[in-house]
Amino acid sequence: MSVQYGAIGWNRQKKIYDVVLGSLLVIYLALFVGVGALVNPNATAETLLIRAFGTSAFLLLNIVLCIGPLARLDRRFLPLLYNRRHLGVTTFLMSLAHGGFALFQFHALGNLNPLLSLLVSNPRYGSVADFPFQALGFVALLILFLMAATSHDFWLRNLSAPTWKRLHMMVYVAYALLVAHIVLGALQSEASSILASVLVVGVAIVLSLHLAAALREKTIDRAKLHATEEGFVEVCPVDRISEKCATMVSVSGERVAVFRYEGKVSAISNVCQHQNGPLGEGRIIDGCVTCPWHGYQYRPETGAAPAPFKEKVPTFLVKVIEGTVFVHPKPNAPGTYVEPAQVECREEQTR
Amino acid sequence: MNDFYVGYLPKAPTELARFTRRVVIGLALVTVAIALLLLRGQNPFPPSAFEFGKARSFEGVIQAQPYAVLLVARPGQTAAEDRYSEYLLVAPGKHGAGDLVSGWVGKSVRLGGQLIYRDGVTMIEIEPGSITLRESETPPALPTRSVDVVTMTGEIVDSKCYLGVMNPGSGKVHRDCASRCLSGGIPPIFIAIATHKQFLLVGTDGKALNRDALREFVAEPLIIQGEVFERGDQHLLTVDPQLLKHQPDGLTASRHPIQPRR
Repeated sequence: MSVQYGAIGWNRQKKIYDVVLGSLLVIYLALFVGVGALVNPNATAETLLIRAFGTSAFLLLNIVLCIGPLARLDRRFLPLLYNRRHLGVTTFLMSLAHGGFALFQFHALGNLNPLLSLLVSNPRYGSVADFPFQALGFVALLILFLMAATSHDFWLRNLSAPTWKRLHMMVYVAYALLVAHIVLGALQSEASSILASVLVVGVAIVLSLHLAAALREKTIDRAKLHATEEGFVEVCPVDRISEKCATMVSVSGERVAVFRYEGKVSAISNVCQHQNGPLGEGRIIDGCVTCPWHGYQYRPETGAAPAPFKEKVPTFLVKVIEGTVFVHPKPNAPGTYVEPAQVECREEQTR
Repeated sequence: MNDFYVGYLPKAPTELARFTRRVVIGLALVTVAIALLLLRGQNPFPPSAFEFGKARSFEGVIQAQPYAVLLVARPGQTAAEDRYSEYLLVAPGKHGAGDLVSGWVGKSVRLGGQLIYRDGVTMIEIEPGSITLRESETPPALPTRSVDVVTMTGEIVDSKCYLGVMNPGSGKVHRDCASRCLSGGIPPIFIAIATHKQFLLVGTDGKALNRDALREFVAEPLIIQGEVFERGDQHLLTVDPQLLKHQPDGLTASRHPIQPRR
């Protein structure tokens, strides 16, 4: 939509989004460090900061990963999806703070370069109990950096959408690495089951939502495949058809007018019996398809003119599956009643 | 289509905005709940201290075997074994005090530093360049008492972090730091799980261990068999790194920091 790349194309929605995000983050960090210091006066400040940033990053990542499937399951979550890239960049920044503080705390001021120390201080790569979990976090941070650095539309355009999308699917690799980072690190260090429970619940929610969305997609795909196997032909998203109007499609040589009206869809021949006028260019008036040329009318579900008129046109079987219209190319005899397809209350958004 | 969302329009549809507002409020509550829950789930932090920024002055005799210590006279004490307190010495960062005190061994000095202490054991982080010579004093010979040959379960840590520079200063999360500290010359200590007693680790010859000898064994529960002996008020434990073995492996193996006693 824009012709020039700005760092951020600000608008009111994005500003609100980011203010809310920032506020929740400040609340979390202040609560964690503040209450943490009050309740644990012996804790060193660096420890609380490392934990605050680390847990906030993982919480954010869980939210980021939930937004996608939620938006597919319920369109009301689309506002959360709109500016998800800022959530993603923020997740990276929190992770960077966590990693940075940890690198300083555990690896700096020693006899090795901190980054080198990160990789060699714990040589027990062959052990499960003593595996150097820090390396997992480090790799995950690199992935999050790659994603954050390429989150701008500039990269979307120049990498091409498929490549960009593949890169950003690496978020799931990062997520798995971080879960392992937590399991092999903090979870082994903490005696309480609270942390393990919170982690399990978080991962379970992410997985459940993805499975639910995948199952729904699978059900939709199966229904569409079934329709195709029955000989139906996909026409278009139902949203593409204006109310009481039609779209025209050529199906196996037949010109078909697909009408949408009162939450229903019907398909009839596009050819008016009176001088072959294009019915698809007409409108539904008083419940009847009305030819734009001379006003001849036909009921959409039967293709028959209302009494006392006698004209009839062929009708076609029609289905709407998750917001997509399918039409069977075999015409029914003129005047044959066909049950209208129902437009689902929840209309699929295409983007 | 009145609930169709277009992000760049100034205002979202009313019903959708109301729903989103509810979601955000829910997220805020979740945020607070998770923060408090995670705080609640932390291991307790043991009482330990690093008086960072609080410079003090100390006087005593420096000794370097097996690890650098400052012997500080206890006024009024006459019994040979009780005449001195021993403070382990370390340099800033993850470095032992060996380099700082070379040239001062056996001498009576005054030095500046910051205290680090836990469970009755105290350490001084030396301020570099602060060591000055005091009047000459005969270095004391501390009596050494062999106590017993023991087998104990515990954890190897670096003394500086454990005593208070980091909290927690033990356990798996701290492992890399302990590795760096030991490699830098910080004295290694062994914490007995049952008693939380601290033992300075030395080789079977009673001398300081090679700095990286224990790197592979920090921050995991270990069984050590060695000789315990006391020198002054220090407790030392001999260890042969060649004989150390890793405990059975597995995801459920505990790697907790050492918990404070109740």
